[in-house]
Amino acid sequence: MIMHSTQQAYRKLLEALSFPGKVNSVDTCPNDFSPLISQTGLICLTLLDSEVAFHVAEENNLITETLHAYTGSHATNARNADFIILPLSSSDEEIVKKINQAKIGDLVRPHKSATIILEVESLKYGYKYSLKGPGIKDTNQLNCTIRPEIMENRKNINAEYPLGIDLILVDQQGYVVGLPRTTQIMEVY
Amino acid sequence: MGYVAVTGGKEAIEASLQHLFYERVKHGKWLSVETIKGTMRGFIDHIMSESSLYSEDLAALAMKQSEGNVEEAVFLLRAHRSTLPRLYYSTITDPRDMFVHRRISASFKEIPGGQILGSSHDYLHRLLDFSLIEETEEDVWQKKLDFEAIEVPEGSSIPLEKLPKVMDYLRAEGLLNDFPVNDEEPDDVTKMSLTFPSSRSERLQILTRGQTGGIVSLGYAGLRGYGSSHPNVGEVRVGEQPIHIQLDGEEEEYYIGSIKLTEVESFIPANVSENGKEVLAFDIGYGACFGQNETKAIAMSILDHALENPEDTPIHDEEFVLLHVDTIESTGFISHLKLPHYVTFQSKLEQMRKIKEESGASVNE
Repeated sequence: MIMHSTQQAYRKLLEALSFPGKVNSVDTCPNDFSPLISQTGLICLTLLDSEVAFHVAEENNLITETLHAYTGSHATNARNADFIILPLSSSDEEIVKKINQAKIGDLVRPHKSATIILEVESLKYGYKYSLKGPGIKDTNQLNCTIRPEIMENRKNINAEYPLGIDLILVDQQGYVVGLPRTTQIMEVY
Repeated sequence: MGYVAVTGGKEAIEASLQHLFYERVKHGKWLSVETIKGTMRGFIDHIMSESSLYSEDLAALAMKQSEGNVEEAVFLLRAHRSTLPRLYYSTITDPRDMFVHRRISASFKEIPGGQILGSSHDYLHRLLDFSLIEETEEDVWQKKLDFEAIEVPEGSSIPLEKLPKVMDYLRAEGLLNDFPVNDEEPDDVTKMSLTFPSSRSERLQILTRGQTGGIVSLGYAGLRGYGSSHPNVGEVRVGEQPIHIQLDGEEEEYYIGSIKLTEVESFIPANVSENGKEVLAFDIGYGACFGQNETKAIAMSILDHALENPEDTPIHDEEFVLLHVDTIESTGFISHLKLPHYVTFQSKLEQMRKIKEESGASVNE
């Protein structure tokens, strides 16, 4: 039952965004969304419907068409998208470009911002980051393969709270981490 | 004293709910949803309109569950509505395409296509029919068959599709202010909270899903002098309105069914300047709602016109009208007064006692 899968995935996403840095496991998707990671597919199935618009990095037509067919959601450019999907194949330049183009909302409607679903190699190893902010007691540790330049870029975008973007990270093992705009991230050397 | 959360009472609430469920069954009587749907047309039309969910089956279920409590039934349907995914949006539909059940004009006796009375309570003596107490299922079947056996006299049938609108004749004569057709995507009040000044599409949505009693009361107040929109009912039409959807990238539209709709166009005299001269012309007030709810639709047409023409009375004030006619908003806010307000009330009480003490002390001095 697709509905049950997406309901469970929704609870996981809620958990991920409530406790930034916590590594969650999400089920695989019953439908084929390749070349997306299966869990990214399930997350898209959970979040997208005809009421929102999405954008896939590098204008990947195969992914765009599959997402549209399964969810009824409409593809748009990065500036207007409610969800931006950045597949694992996206270059660092592409990631930075899309993050910079993403909607950050306005002061009256900060929720009218983009949620970015970013596929990464790993959420278990890589650069070390220390996380602070709501949902974290003291600090939390995140190991992941996202380059510090991208994290720095995210910080600049989120400088003027409540404006900003929320990030959902999915790695190749299907682990999921949420980084809402409220989380402050520092690289640990 | 800090904020004191209300705790406990869980068992009391559970027991209260058991009492409520018992109320519905305590007489050992049973009514099927099918029976409600087949016999309670007025109730179903009423709550479908207020809940802005078009489903006779769900409305009948809500009536059964709520024991006929309108406020509760609308609440149930609005709650259910909010959980439904939106798969498609319908395309623009024109009431000129309506299959008409009833269509009358209070402005012209002879309207092209004719006055079609359809079915209405309007022509009844309002006397209780005590024979219904003893009515049996057989009686119902007999009455049904008797009506269906009536032969339609030859040559008396009238086409009920594509009936022209009364408004079109006035417009052709140049007596109606002409406006270009506005087919813009409407703002959706169920997705964005209302801000002022509101758009016309927002106003019409709030009014069409407004509480019947609220809309009618305010429309009546407007007529009686708390507003300056006194209409002539140009046309009331009730019928089946066809609804179509369009799939992505496809030209063709698909018919998905029809909804019962009441539509009202009121003519309201207004001064307009034409070539620098003041001339008399007619404005339009528009009302439309799910089901056969004629009083509501007429009152809506008064309020629509009043809100289009702001003036210094409450009926012409969009904030006053739009923020108070929604059934969930008003019944919800009034009901919340039943929730514990112990702390607020204690602080008021304390203030009062203090003032009393102080004034008492000063008298004694």
